[in-house]
Amino acid sequence: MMSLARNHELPTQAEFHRAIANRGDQWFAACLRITRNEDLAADAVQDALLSAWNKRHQFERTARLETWIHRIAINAALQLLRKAPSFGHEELDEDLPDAGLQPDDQRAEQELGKGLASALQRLSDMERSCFVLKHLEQWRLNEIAFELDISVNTVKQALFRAVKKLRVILADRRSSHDY
Amino acid sequence: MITEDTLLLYHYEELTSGEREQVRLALARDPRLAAEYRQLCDELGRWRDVPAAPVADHVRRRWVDAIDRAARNAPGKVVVRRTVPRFWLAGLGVAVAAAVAIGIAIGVRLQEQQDPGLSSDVPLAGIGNAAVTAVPASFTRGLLVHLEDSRREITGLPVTDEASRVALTLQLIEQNRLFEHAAEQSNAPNLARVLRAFEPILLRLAREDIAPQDAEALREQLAFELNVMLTKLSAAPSESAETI
Repeated sequence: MMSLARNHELPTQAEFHRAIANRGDQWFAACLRITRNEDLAADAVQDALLSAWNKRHQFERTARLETWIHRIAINAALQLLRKAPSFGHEELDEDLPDAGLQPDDQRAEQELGKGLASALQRLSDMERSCFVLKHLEQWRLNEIAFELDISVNTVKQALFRAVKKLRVILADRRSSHDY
Repeated sequence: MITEDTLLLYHYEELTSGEREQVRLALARDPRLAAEYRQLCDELGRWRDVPAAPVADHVRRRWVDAIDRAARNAPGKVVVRRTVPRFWLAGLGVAVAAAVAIGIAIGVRLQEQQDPGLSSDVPLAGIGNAAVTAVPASFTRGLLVHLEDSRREITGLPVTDEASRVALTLQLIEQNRLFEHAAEQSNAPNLARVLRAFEPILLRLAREDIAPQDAEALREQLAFELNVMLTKLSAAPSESAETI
């Protein structure tokens, strides 16, 4: 009876504070992997927190608040990314110059490890999103397809391309920089 | 024939049970394929351990503040507002865009004696063209997103809802100050001066006793100018911000 009552208790302000303290880094890192932009990542987390607060009556105590917000934050990051004009457009990675890193990219580089962060820059938004969601966030392909509003086959193709490119790029880095 | 793509789906457990069995048998039969799969798994495994760098304190405080504000406003829903759009270097272009829009709307002109390079008859747009030349093209996307957000907010500005209008205008003032600071940091004193000139006017717009028709006129003009800026940016999304 007590647990039933507990299940219907709304998460409190203090619980949100604790979640931010405990998992803020992870939410931000996850959003940064998707957006590659610190401001967008921070906005995504804030959007997610407010969305979670506004929908806290939907939260079930059987889940962890931190995990619930993490998922909402990823969705928020994807929403922000989808607004970007280049999303869904393939980039010609072969022609990309090895340009110096921008400040946000530098942060992303610390975040992901030097080799992988550089390599991720060579992917299109679609490829990077599919790879991050599948490989790092461990979503199912159909979940990714649903959230990105594309077919499962498109997700697969983007994922295949992403992994192929990453393997080639990171192999090159290993041979030239002893990665 | 088991391809690398199939091995990848096998690794991620995204194959049907029949397909999985097929791959399992092939791996057992073919040592070369098994070696290839092990190598794939090794590489993917190396990409998984990603340390999370700590988020900046001011960002974390911003999130806590957002929740605190939401809690104070409960039970009503909280409108999501970007507290600080920090595309600062890139955002200089946005600042100029917003500055130009506001400036045109309210007829602000710099005094010529304060800036010999600017005639009092020159609209602020002229300053913007010069000031955004340092904005890298790679930030154009961020500018577009921010402009679209701004347009939405301005379009929805509730001029008859005094509290919301005041809150939004105060937010614009806060952003203006940030961009002004960014301009100073970026050795763009002209731009900083222009931005500083907006503050008294924005403060008037934030006053509670402004007539609704006056507020509406400002809102409409601002929305129009933002539309113009957005159209210019959208017309050349891959071009340098210099083209704005």
